[in-house]
Amino acid sequence: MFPSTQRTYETNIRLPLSFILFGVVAFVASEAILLFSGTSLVQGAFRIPAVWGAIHLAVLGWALMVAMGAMYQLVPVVFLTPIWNETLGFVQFFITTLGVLALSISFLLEMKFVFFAGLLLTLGFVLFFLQMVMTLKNQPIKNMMTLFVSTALFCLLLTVFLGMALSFHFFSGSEIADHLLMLKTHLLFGLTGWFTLLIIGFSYKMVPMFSLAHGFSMTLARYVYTIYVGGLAITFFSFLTNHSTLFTGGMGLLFLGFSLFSYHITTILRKRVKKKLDRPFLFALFAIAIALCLHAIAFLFAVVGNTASFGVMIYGYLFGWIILSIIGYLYKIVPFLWWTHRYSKKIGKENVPTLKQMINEKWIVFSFGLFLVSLIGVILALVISNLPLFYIAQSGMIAFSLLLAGTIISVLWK
Amino acid sequence: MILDNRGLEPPQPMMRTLAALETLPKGETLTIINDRRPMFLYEQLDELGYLYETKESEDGSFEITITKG
Repeated sequence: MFPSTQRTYETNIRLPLSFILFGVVAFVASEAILLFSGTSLVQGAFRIPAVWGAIHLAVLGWALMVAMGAMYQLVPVVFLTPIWNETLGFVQFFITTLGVLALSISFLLEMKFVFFAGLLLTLGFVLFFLQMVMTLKNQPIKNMMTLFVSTALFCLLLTVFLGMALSFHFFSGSEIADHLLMLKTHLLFGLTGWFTLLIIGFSYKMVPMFSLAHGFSMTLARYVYTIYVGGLAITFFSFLTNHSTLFTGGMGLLFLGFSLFSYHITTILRKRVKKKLDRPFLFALFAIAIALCLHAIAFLFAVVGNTASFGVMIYGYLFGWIILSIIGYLYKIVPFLWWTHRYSKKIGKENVPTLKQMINEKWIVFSFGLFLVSLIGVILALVISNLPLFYIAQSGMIAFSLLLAGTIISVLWK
Repeated sequence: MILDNRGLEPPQPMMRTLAALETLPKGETLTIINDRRPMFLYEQLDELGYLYETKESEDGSFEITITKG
């Protein structure tokens, strides 16, 4: 692992890079599959195998794989502790990749096999969970970020086990517990639990880092955590008791918690030294604004009792908040990773490119525009049930995913 | 002037370095010792027009000598 004299905790670049490369390719594949599910999607039919296949490929193969790769890179930097076992990391990568591929194929071909693919995937996630827990345990000084990330990891584990149970229902034809209850909880803990708490936790480090902010207070983070996690708990109880007032309360707390987080981020940004912020980083900040709006809309929908629109909301949340944040930080992480791998030994000896030269910012801005326009197009198409618009907008998404994959992979040629 | 940034949480090393550079007279050098190669610092130094040289030490840390142009 790490000799006692070594103070640097840099992860072997192949580990995060493997996750990221698989992720961008999975993204292209998932967007293509979604295109073919157009007729079902515009009719509001989300709960069909082909759509599950595409969504799980997007969520697990793209978003989650990239998140895991980023964590292998960033956890040592943010938490000042090395990855517990890199070999385990590679093993986990292979198991998870196989699991994701098996799961996606099963959704598309034979629902019963989803259960077995799910078992493999669960093993992969349990290994990841173990890796991160053992890594975070060794963190010298624990802080609010440790709390956010640990809670996020716990939510991931719950989400995965619920997913397993759901797939068991399809395999066995019998229910362990109420299917709808488990499905709603699966979505809640996966999207608002795992992904959101993870992004919030890491944002508290990424935002000061990329804006060079210092001298700000972290006190608000405690309230963000308490209120947001409280909202998660209340929402879960509303599912358990089928209580719509509790659900509204839960959505309200989540909105309040996220509003506080958004406000806290603006206070951090006010203390920044770097005046002009990088475009990719601006995307990640924009994603926070989108999430804030979505939390508000979710609360409003709950108040008026509109639960039918939650399908489209969830789609918007996944792409406009989670995936957009990931893309923003990915455009910063990949050049950094590759530069360190290719040029870090060369600096001072030859003409080495700067970080900025590793990736074309003009393409990034164009791709961001393409993503946003396509996303709005898809959401509109789903809301008004317009198939031609869906095909056009989704084609835009596919083009974006190809551009993203191309841009990320092109870094490896620099 | 020598600045030891080892053991500090990001972005402390970069913040300290930039602050020290601000008060440094023109033509003078600042040497910093970091746990990791300061990738984002290089970007800022390029933007500010400062010259720098990086040396990897035996214990895995990095020594960067910055000259205020």
